[in-house]
Amino acid sequence: MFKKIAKQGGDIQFDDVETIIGPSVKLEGEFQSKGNVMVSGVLIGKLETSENVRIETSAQIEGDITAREAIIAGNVHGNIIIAQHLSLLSSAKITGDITAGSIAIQQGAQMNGKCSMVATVEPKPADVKQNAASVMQDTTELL
Amino acid sequence: MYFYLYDAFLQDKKYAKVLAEIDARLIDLSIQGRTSRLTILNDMKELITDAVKRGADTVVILGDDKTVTRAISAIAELDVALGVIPIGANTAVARYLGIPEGVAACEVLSKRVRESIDIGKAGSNYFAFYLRSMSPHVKIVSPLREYALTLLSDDAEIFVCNFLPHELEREAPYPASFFVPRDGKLELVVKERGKNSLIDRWLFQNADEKREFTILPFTTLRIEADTLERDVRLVLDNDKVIKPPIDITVLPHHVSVIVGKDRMF
Repeated sequence: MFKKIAKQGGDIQFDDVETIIGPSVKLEGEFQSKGNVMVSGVLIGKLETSENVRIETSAQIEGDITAREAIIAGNVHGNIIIAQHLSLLSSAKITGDITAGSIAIQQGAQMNGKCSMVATVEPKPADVKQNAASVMQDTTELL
Repeated sequence: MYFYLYDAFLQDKKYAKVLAEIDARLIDLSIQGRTSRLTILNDMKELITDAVKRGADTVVILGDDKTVTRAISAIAELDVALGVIPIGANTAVARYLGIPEGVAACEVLSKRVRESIDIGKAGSNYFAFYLRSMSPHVKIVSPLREYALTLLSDDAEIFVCNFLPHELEREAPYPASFFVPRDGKLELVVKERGKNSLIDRWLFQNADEKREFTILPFTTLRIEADTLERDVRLVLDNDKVIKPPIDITVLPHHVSVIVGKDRMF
């Protein structure tokens, strides 16, 4: 699973993961990290990291996601702010607005919300939030 | 000055030969010292504290995993190095420290390569290896209650790890950043039971498909029972039983241990 990510243009290698939220847990509240995060369980609240996020097919997210890069294969009900590249895999279901530096959408992915493209900027660690907010002005609405 | 502490089970006659060989080798290497034996009438912490007061700067434990993990807890508040001569059936801790079993451990001791390792503290108790919840009915809360983690399945196991527990070794390999006992972090691990059966292992031959666990590195967390009615017990290093709610924190580089070149961290 993790090794396949690189082939799909992502940036998360298994050896680089700092936190894995597995399918048998539910995390409620505001989760902040400075490393790569993988989610295949339930997350109700906010997920913020200065690095990358992988949302697995089995994941159910109700809340906003902020990260440098992301690969999403599961369900997200919330806004997504990605400073660089966002990949939506075919099983992804997004209800919420997306702001990203670049985006790749596989056939079958479902998106309900606004999508805004912004200039790709290399984020400083723990600076993703400010970075994404500053570039939101330059938006292009896709949907 | 070395202080050697023998576990009580070593009084069994079957260990007489290896103990005689170890005693002889320690003399050969000029690292002999005062010795003491654990019995049901004495206490490890008292024996070690007394030895340190008498000038011991290195405490060497002869025994198995349980002896070593108890010793690490016992020296947590002392300025002393810990050495291990592993004897017995369960010697996984020594293996992590890179110390061979029996007489061969004497060579490692004589080289005195020391490493400071983290230990965990749960309430007022220390643990060297891991803490295990005997019930899935717990809530794990971050220090400022920013987030709470609960289990969706009754068929899951919860560990708080410093080293990689034997029970989780079959799931290996893990990312290299996990279970390093000198990184200043502990790992919360939630693993679904039943994912380790032969059928599951056959079905999920692709190692990447069977990683159905949670790993959350942390420095401080709180474990609470999810309801007051539940009888939830937490076991420290397969030995001491405590009850939640309990605050768990890591004490970075807190204990100095003698390690071998084959240490696994």
